Amino acid sequence: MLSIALSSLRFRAGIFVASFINVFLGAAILMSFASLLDSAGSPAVSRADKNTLTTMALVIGGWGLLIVAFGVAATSTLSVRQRDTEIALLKSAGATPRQLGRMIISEVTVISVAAAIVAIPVAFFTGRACLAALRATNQVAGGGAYHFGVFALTVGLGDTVFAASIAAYAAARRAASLSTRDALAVAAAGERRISRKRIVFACLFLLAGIDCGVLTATVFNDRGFVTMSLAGEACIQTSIGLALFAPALMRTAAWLLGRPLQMVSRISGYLAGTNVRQRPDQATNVLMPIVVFVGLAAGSLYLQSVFNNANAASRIAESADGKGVETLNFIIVAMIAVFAAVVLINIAVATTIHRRREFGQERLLGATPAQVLWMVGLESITTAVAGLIFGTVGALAGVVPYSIARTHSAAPHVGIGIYLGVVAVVVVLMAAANLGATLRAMRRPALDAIAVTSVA
Amino acid sequence: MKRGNASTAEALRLDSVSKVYLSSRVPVAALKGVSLSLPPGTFTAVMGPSGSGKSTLLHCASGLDEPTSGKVYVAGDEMKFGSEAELTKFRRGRVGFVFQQYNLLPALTVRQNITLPLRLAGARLDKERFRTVVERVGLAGRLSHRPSDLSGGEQQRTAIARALVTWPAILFADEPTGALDARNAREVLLLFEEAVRTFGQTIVMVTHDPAAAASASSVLFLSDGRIVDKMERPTAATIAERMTRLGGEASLTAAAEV
Repeated sequence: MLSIALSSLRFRAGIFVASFINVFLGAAILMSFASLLDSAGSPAVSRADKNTLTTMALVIGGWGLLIVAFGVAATSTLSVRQRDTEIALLKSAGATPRQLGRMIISEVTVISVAAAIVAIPVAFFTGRACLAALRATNQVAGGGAYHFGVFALTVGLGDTVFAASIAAYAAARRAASLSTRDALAVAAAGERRISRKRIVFACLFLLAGIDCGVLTATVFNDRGFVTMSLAGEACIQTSIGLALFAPALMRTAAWLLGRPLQMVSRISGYLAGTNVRQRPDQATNVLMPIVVFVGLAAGSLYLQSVFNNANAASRIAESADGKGVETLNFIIVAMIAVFAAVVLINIAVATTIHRRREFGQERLLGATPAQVLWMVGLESITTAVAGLIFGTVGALAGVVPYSIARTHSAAPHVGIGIYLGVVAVVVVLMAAANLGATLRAMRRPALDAIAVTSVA
Repeated sequence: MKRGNASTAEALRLDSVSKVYLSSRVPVAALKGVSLSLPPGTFTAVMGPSGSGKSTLLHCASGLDEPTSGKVYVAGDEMKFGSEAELTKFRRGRVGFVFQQYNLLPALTVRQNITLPLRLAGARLDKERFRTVVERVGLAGRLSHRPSDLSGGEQQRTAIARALVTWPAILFADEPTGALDARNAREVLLLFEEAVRTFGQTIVMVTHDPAAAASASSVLFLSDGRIVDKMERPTAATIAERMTRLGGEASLTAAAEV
């Protein structure tokens, strides 16, 4: 089965390259932060420095861990689900569920281990740069050398490979349990219901998010950095919880936006609305990373903004160190946001390219390339709007409690500028990824695109 | 929508159409100057050994592929191989398709699938025509189902209804019975015959099955990119016999070329 797995990797390069990039970036970011723990362990480091380094690594690592695990799991799951037809064919050719499971898991493992290994040297240097930045902003003293060791490897590598394997395991279990007929039907029509397991996980994340929010506003409301990172945790956990509910959210959004879409463009809007309603699985693939991206980016940027405003209001002059912390915070958020954005792009491109055959059929039936582009564009807008709404809810889950903690007012006094920036980024990323991928999918003649043995 | 085939004497005309594929190392001439003329309301089967160019003929005649040279006329209008959008707009209302693999959109219901080409063309749905076609293909009770809920035969009948409801000047069918069992295949062929009889539909069907080709009013035999024979009022037996000889000739020429 391993040889089938490997030839499959070569055959369907696109989605696997996406998986590889996500695991690579995720592992690099996590290992960089985890290396701070290694550095904190060096004997020459003072107790205070040890504390700072450990807190930073754990707090940032905590968010990062979740986001990376989420991103890697989402792409790995997609890489398996896009092959429902192939899996159904293997089943009908006599592959046992066990063999299929081994095939899927070995594929995902080969990719994630390879990507994580390539990430090690990169993480070594970014981790060192991170420590240097901390020293430059005087958050840690000069003592102690940079170490990249056990923690970096176990936490950084462990989390990414673990997340990928869990996702692969779940996908393999699902693939194995579907009957051949069902697998073919699902491949054609998409998944309808949200599984009970998914609902349980979604609820757990939402509860954890609310819990962090409540703690931010009450028990931990004056702990400085801890308060802020707890609020950040509230944003992320709530966003991931909402993201897991994405199929239901997507259907609601499609239902609400169905009419307006048709007003924009009668036929493309009609197709876009039907696709989103009937194949919510396609749209939700992309909806999930949007919700997480918006929750993370809008959330953490507004947390910083509330922090600055509160300090300004209580006339706390911002020290040089404070500025340094802010800069560092931005860099860290930016790194994780870039990761979330890459996941978003990868998933959007992979999902759209996968629809090549559908586009081909529409073209054969009389859709012009412009009509197909409009259809995809309107679907992207629907998904982006849904993602922005639910991502904003996720961001508010952390920002409101933090605002209460710092200013005793639930409505944070912050500008709309950051939010507009986040909206712009989401819209540009979606448009570029989806329309670009659609154009690419339509580059070949429609006849080739509908060929049953089309190379994806 | 106007019926393009009502006023003209020819539903389809090919003027020395050739197609050369340059993708492989050696250029391959799949069609070598094919000319033909089909009057409206005829049902023509195209047969030939594999590699004889029958699929290429269908693709070039229907505007899915651009001929290297030669002209194609549908209902008297010359097909312009400009941009994809222009070609698509030309095909709308003139050309209908039925494929071996049905090509139904999984997200749409049977009704939505059938009306899709009209919607794409921005044309109004002729309710009377829709009702007639849907009843003829026997899908009246399945309109709100999705393709994944249908049997292969029902899916192909949906595809046929989708093609017929637009009043195409010509309907191209590419191995329409290839994925069906004998009973469903028979049903599809009966639908084609009925469409020719009652709607005056023109149909061109590529097939390798002599039994399927026998339901056509005439058969064109293709070999090595050329039309080598034409048979009127064929039967499965005469077609099979002719095909055997063609297959023999083709393998002889192939042997001679080696």
